[in-house]
Amino acid sequence: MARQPATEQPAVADANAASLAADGRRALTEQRQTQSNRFRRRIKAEKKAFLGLIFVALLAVVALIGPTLAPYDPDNDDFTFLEGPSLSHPMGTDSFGRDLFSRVIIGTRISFTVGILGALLSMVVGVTLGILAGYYLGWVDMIVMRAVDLIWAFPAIILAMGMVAIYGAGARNIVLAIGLANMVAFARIVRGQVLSLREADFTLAARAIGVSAPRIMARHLLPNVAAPIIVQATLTVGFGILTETGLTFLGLGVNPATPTWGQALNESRNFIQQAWWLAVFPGLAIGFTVLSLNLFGDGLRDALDVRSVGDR
Amino acid sequence: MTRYIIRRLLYALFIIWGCATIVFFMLRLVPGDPVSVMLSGEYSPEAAAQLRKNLGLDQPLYRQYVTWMGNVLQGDLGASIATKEPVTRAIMRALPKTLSITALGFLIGVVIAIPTGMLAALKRGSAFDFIASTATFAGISLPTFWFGIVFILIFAVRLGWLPSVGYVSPSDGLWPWFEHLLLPGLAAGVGEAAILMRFMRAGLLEVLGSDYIRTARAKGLSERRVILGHAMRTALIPVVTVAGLSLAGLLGGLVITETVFSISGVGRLLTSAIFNKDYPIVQGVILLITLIFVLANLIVDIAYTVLDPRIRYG
Repeated sequence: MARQPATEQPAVADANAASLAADGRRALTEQRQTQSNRFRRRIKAEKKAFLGLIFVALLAVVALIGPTLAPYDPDNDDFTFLEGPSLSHPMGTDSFGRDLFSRVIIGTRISFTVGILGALLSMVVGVTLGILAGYYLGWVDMIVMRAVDLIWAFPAIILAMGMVAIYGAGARNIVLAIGLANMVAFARIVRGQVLSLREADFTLAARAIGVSAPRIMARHLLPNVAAPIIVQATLTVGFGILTETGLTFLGLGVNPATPTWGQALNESRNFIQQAWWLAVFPGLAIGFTVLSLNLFGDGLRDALDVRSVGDR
Repeated sequence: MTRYIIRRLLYALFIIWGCATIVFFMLRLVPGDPVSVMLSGEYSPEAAAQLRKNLGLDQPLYRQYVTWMGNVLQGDLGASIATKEPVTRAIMRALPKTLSITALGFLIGVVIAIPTGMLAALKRGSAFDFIASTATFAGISLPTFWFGIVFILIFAVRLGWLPSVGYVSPSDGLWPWFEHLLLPGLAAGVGEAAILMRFMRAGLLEVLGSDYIRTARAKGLSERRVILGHAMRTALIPVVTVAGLSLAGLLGGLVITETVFSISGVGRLLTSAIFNKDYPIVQGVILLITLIFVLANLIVDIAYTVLDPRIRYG
């Protein structure tokens, strides 16, 4: 009887030690988890964002290797014109006898490029203005925010049309228009965040040891406002795509010779009685892309618990 | 509250002045000589000089600005280069069409959004909530003008129920007027409904979890009274704000939708003016739409103070 505890004790001690070691390892592993790992886990937890991310990634692949995926040359007009969807032409053919599926696939690239570049431009300008206004306050803040309020007063599509009226149509000008119309949201979001962060201990400490203002803004403030910026950027790409397709539909956007979704919808109007597929498929392509981006952006907002500025 | 309203009014005046200034400089930002851009093609030096004089471009910039602002304040936005018609008259001819579609689209949006959003919140997690939320996402992601094309395809081409394009004045009969407005109004309303429904659902969900709703239930009030009498009153406040703000989106969307339905509203006026480089028209329409947007924002802000006691007594 007396030996039993003696033999049992080391076993219990071993088990405790093993459990402690396991706990320690777990704690260590948890400690080692990088911020990006935690971020990824939260994304996965947020199913909406994850689903959106998968769709966006798929679309990005289509945009990148579109010419390889397209079954035919998008400009090849050797097919029967206005032929309904079939196995050889899943989305039918257009009024020039071109394969619509190939044109929709190729159209992904231009819409994505214009949307992403527009969002990047608005992000760079908006974030810079927002961070300057929020950090310096005073007259810098007053001038920047009054200018932002003025641009905010123009509905985005009207601002874009105004830009096209001044500088003419074309992909470059559409990117500029999207950039200008959307930088306002970035400036407002970032300024709001910086206003609270400029008094945070780490900012005060950096200032106290003599770190320069540009360095504080770039190294200390910017990383802390990254989450809402990423969310807004994702939503802006979707908005940019809607602006591009809308302007191209009106004939004020990308060069009509380029296969784009907006251009396809524009052409569909003349054949609405005979060819429903010309209107339906390019529209669904726009909808699916913007939906994926919205799903991703919205999910990201939930996952990162970000409050956003209302959309115009 | 009065001080807040006065401050808000003054700020709106500043924004309107700023927007008018930006619109003034639009013409001056055109790369190169705006007159040669507008007269593109062959033209005589006399014609160019005449146009320059008509637009006041032969004057020093400060005088151009003062004259332009003075004219705008008197409702004079210049004349169209293409038709010589006063810009104000061209806008006034187009405006009723745009406003009719905007009003109908807004109404359709509200009629769909409020009950759907309310039901989605009350039946949170149900199949109805899932379908409504998915439809909302689709409504926000698809362009309004595409809805227009699809509605033409279904209701005009396939079913033959409604006319596909055009506009009929109410003086030519109320039914033909309404019949022509229905499809563009529906196209505009679907996007509007999607935005409003989202806020209605979120607003009501937030309110339903609050203490005063628990108190109302604890008092033994019927569920109907709790929802309609207590919860909805608070939940509607953000919806009112968003409804006002979304007017801009509605108007912006209409600029394109009017082209789908071949309705010569202000959107179509703007598009054709951009094609024709008819800058006085472009400036006039942009100024008008911006003015409507700023005023809508102002009304929303003032309505907010009336609706929300926290602002009224704060």
